[in-house]
Amino acid sequence: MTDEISGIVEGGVVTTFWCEGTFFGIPIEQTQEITSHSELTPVWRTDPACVGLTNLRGQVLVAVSLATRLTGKTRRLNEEGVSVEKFQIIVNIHNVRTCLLVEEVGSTVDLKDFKKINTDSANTQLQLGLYANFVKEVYLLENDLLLILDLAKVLDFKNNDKQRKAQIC
Amino acid sequence: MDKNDELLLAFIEESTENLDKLDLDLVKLETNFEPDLLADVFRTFHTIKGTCGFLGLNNLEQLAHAGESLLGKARENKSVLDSEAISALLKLADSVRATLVYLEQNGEEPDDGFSELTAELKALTDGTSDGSKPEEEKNPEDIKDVADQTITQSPSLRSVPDEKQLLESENHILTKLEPAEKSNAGEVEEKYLRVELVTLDLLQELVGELTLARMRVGSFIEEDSPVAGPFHQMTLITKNLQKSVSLARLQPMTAVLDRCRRIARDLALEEGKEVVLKIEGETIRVDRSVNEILRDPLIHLVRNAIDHGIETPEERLAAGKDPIGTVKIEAKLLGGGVNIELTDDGKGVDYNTLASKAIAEGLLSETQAANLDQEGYSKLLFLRGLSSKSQVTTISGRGVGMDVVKTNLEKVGGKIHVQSVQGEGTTFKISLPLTLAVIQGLVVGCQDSKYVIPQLDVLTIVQTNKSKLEQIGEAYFIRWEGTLLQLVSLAEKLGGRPEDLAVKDQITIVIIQKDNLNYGLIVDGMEDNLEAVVKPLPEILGGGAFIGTTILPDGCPYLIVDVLSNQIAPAKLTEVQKDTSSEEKSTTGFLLVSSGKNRYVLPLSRVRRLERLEVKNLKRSAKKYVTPYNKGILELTPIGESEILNSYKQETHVDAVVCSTSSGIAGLLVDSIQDILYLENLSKRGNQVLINSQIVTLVDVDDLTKRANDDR
Repeated sequence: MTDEISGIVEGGVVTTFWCEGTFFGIPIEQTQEITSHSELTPVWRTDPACVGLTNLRGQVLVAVSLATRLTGKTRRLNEEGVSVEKFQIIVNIHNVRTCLLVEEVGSTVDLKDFKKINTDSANTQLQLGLYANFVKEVYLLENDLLLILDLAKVLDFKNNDKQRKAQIC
Repeated sequence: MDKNDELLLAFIEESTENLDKLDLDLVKLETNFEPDLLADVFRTFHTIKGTCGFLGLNNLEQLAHAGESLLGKARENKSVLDSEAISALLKLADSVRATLVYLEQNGEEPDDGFSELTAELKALTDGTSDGSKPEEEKNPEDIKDVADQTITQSPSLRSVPDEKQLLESENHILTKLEPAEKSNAGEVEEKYLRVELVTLDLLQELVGELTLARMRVGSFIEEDSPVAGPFHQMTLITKNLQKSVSLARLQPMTAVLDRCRRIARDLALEEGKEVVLKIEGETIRVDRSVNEILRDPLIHLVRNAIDHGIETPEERLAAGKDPIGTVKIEAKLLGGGVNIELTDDGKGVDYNTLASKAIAEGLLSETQAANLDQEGYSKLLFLRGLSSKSQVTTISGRGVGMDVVKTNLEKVGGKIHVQSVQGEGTTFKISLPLTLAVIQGLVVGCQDSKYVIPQLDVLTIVQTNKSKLEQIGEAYFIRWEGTLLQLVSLAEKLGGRPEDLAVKDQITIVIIQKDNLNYGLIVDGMEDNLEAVVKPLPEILGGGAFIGTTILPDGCPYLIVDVLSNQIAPAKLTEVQKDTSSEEKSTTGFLLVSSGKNRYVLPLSRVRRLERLEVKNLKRSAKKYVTPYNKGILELTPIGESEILNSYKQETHVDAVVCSTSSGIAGLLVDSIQDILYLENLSKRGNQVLINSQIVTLVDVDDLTKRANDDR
C-alpha cells in the first residue's frame, strides 16, 4: 500500500467525527463529502457492517456502519427506533467511493498543532482495545484523544475479518 | 496544446478507427472485387499518406504510398487482390497501427523506416521483385479522381490549418465513423458527434443529481397543487433523460467481433485451412467496458478453434465433411447479461487424450480420471498447463491461455462453458454481465425490501397456494406445464427470515428459465416492471448472488439478483434428494407415472428432469427412440409395452423422465407424470411396491435401459 493511498496524516489535516462516543479522524484527502443520513436500501447476505445501499447522484454506494465495523455490535437505535448514525461521510479509497455512517461530525483538525502518541506501546494498544486493528495514529488534543483510522483497513472486509474476530475473542 | 498537436491527435484517433474497418474491408476484398469498397480502402490509405506528409511523418508516408499504389493497380485492372497482396496490406495496417501507438506516446515517428515492407508492396505492385519503377509513378492520373475527392474532404491536409480548417477536419473524422451511410455525407455529419467518455460520465452523474432533486421537490407538492401537473411532466422528462444518457454509453459489439474476422483469415491462411467465420448479433449494444473485456478471450477462442479444431481440407474430406470449416460466433442478450456462443465444426476435443495428458502431467489422478463425467472432462480444458494439441506451435499448444481466458472472464463475473463432441466440433459459451447496460427488470417484493430480476430469465409468474405444492423432505415443488419444478425462497437464499408458506394465502412464484433446471422462485409479490440501468456491484458486496445494482424511479438503489447463479438456483434434483435421504434414511421419494394401463414408480433420486418432447423430433431405433437433447442425443426407452410407441404417432408431444443411469443419462417415455410420493415404510416385493393399497411396479432404470440396448 502506498502512502498516497493510506493517507499520510502526520502533520496533515483530518476530518473528524464521533462513533460510539470515541473521537476519530480520517485524512481530508480521503474525504469526498459529508451529508446528512438519507434512506438506505437494506442488503442481506453480506457483512453485518454493510447496512445498505445509497444513491449518491446516480452512483450506488455501500453504506458501512462504522460502529458495527469497528466493534462488531449491531447498530444503536434512538428512542424513535432510528439509527444514531445520522451522518454520511463519503470516502474515496482506491478510487472506490464508500459511505461511512457516523454519529456526529466535528470540524477539520490540523494535526501539526498536536502531539502524536506512540501507538506501539502495550498500554496504548490495550486502551485502543477493539479499535487497535483499524487505528493508524493517535493524537492528544486539548480535551480528547483523536484516533486516526486506517481507512484502507476499515474497508478491507476480506482480510480484516479474522483479525477483528480474534480481537473480540 | 498547439494546433499541430491537436491535428496529430485527431489524425491518431481518426486513423485508429479507420484501421479497424480497413482490416475488415481488406478481408472482404480478398474474395470479392467491389469497386466502392476498393475506393474506400484507397481513400483511407490516401488520407493517411496525405496527413503523414503534412505532419512530416516521412516513413509512414512512404509506406502508405506503397500500399496506395498496390490498390491503384487493383483498381486499374479491376482484379481481385490475391492473398499475398492482402497479407502485405494487412501488415501495412498493423505497421501503421503500431506507429500510431508510438506516436501517441512519443509525439514522433519511430526510426524504423519499414523499408522491407515498402519494398514488398512495391514488388507486388510491379508484379516483380526486382524493384522496378513503382506503378504510381508510371501513371499517377489513375488515382487522381479518388485522391481529389479525399483531399476535398480534408482541406487541413494541404496547408497549415486555421481554426476553421481544424473544425472541418473534425467533421471529416465523423464521416469516417459510419462509412456505410456515406451516401449523404451532410446527413451523417449532423447525425454523429464525438463525445469524450468523461463527459458522458459527468452527464450521468448530473442526471442522477437531478433525479434526487426532483424527488425532494416532489415531497413538498400536494396532488391538488397547481404545480402538480408540470411536476409530473418534469418527472417524465427526467426519466427519459436518465435513460438516454445511459444508452449513450452503449456501443455495438461490432467493435470486437469484426476484429475476429481478421484473425480468422490470417490464421486460416497460415495453417493452410479453409475457414468461414460467421458472426451473428454484432448489432447488440453493450457497455464499452464489456467489449473491452470480451476482446482478448474471443480472439483466443477463434485462434484455438482454427488451430485446434478445424481440420485441413484433406482431413475434412476424408472425414466426409465440407472441406471448408465453419466457425460461428453468435451473440445474444439473455437475462442480465450477454451470451456468446462460439461454435466450430472441427474435430472436437479428444477428452481421452486430454485426460491421459493430465495424468501424465500430474494434474489428475487415474482414479479421478476414471470417474470424470462430461462436466469433469470439460473442466480439463481449463486446467493450467494442459493442452489438447500434441505439438507446440507459435499459435497454441502450450496449454497457456484457456485458464487465463476463464480467469479473466470470472474476474468480471463472467462464465465460460465448453461442450465438445469428437469428430463434430466444439462450442464455447461465454456469459458476461452487462455492466451499465439496460435490461428489462421485474421488481419483486421480498420481506422488507425489493429486488430486481432480469425479465429474460423469467418464463412466467404463478399465483398459487400451499395445497398445490408438493413437498419432499424440506424441499417444495410445483407442477407446471407437466414439469415438476423445485421451489426456492428468494428471502431465504438472500439471508432473510425463513419462509413460512403455511401462513400465506397466496404464494407468488416466479418461474425461472435455467439451462439445465428450470425452477420456481418464491417472492412476496410483484411490484413493478421496468427498464433498469445496470450499475456495477460495489466490490464489498462480492459477486455471486447479484449481477449489479440499479436505481429505480423512486431514486432508491436496488440489487439485481442473478437468478441463474448457484447461490440462488437450486442444486440438481439428484443432489437435493441425496441430502434429504441422508438425513431421513427411512423415507424415500418416488415419481409416479402412468404408461399404457399400468402405473409405475421411479426412485426420485434417479430423476434429473421431466421433459415434454416434440414427437416430430423422435427417431425410432429398434425398441428405443432418440432425440436431440442439450446439443447431444438422448436415448428414450418406453416404460411398459411396446404398443405405447404407436400411440405417440397421434400426439404432438410426449412426456419423458430424464434419469441418471450407471452409464450417464437416459430418457424414459411415459404416458403421463402423475405425482410425487414420499413414503416412509415402503412395502416392497420384488419389483412391486404397495402404494395407497395399490400394487405399482418399481422401475429399475439401469435394467430397463440395459435391456433396451441388448434388444437392439
